[in-house]
Amino acid sequence: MSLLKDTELNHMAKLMFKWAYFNLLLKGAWLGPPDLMMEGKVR
Amino acid sequence: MKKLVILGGGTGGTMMANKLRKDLDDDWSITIIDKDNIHYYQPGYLFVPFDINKPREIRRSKREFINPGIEFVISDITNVDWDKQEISTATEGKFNYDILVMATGCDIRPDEVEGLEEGWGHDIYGYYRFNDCQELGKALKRFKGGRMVVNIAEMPIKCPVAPLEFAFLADWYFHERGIRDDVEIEFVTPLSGAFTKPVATKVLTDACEDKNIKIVPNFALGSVDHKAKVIQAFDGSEVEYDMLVSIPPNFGAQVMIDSGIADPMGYIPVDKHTLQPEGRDNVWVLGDGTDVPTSKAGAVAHFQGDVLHENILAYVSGGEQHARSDGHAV
Ligand SMILES: Cc1cc2nc3c(=O)[nH]c(=O)nc-3n(C[C@H](O)[C@H](O)[C@H](O)COP(=O)(O)OP(=O)(O)OC[C@H]3O[C@@H](n4cnc5c(N)ncnc54)[C@H](O)[C@@H]3O)c2cc1C
Repeated sequence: MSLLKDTELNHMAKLMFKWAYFNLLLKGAWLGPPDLMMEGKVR
Repeated sequence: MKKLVILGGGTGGTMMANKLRKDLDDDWSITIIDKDNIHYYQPGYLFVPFDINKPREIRRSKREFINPGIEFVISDITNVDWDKQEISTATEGKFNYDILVMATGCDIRPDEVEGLEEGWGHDIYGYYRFNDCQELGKALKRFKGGRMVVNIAEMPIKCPVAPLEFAFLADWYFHERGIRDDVEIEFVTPLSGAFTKPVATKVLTDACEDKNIKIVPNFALGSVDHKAKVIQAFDGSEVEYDMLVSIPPNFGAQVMIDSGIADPMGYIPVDKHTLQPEGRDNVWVLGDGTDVPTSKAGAVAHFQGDVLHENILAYVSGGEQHARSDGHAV
């Protein structure tokens, strides 16, 4: 997975982030696994 | 009763209040102060011009997201006094605090560039505010072809990748309308390339080439002439446009400048790891309003929130504060 590539999946994930924002992030909830932090950065 | 006051009920302030309410005892009150009750989902500003998000989908009530047990005060913050531990508001009086969390964000300031504010709405549009992104959507529908210039006036800006995303979406949109061959898209930036970091710059430069988006780097915007439809850099170079999509300078809250606690751009100086102003052990700042050299993004505010949560609880219990922010966004 590359977070930088111009892909349908990345676009859909960006659109779905709205749900995560209102339902998780604002509520102060957990947001994704710790491994995600290095996803797309480490090859 | 001990008092924790949070300035700003946007992304960072709301998240911090909800996190802390779960873990602070009932002998702590939590109060959020914000100037209004409208919560905008700002990443949606990018999609409204292209009808991918509807305006109503990205505009909600702030109160809706603030958990029970948190007081929400609606008023303009007019002064912050760290020495007296006191916040003044326009209509609700003064608030004292034992702990202060500051999350008043940043906003665009077209008035900071000569000619930009006067030209706003005359073939100059933006999408960093709710009304602006709707006006830009209308202008895009009217646009029949010509040169669209996407311009970042200066750094830092909120969500530094949003201008490139806008250019990519515009490329897609004009293709969908069957007029892509009639539109030139230019990305005019003060940076030396497409983005701030080398790996991302390489990938994004290639993407711009594939999409026939021209990058004009190292362009430090000095002024805008909306009658001549041209933007000028301080070094004298010029770029002409038919439609200018402008990302004006971003400033922190004016009240922080007026209170004498921010730099000239309204950003509050903090230690970049602890997110605390020097010598203020009961004050923390998160989100777009700090001067830390990281992206101004909700994702960054989220991870900063974890640091504040841990360290504020340690401060309250008299323990060691171990958490450190490293500025990452994902
Ligand atoms: C076009 C665009 C796209 C974006 N895309 C993304 C993205 O994809 N991913 C991402 O992570 N981030 C993105 N962001 C950035 C993200 O929205 C911000 O970084 C985030 O909202 C910052 O949170 P904050 O709490 O610091 O500020 P805000 O959420 O802006 O909240 C600040 C609050 O302070 C209040 N306030 C300010 N001054 C006063 C005053 N004097 N008195 C009372 N109240 C006051 C305001 O009313 C506001 O509610 C985007 C932003 C934009 C504009």
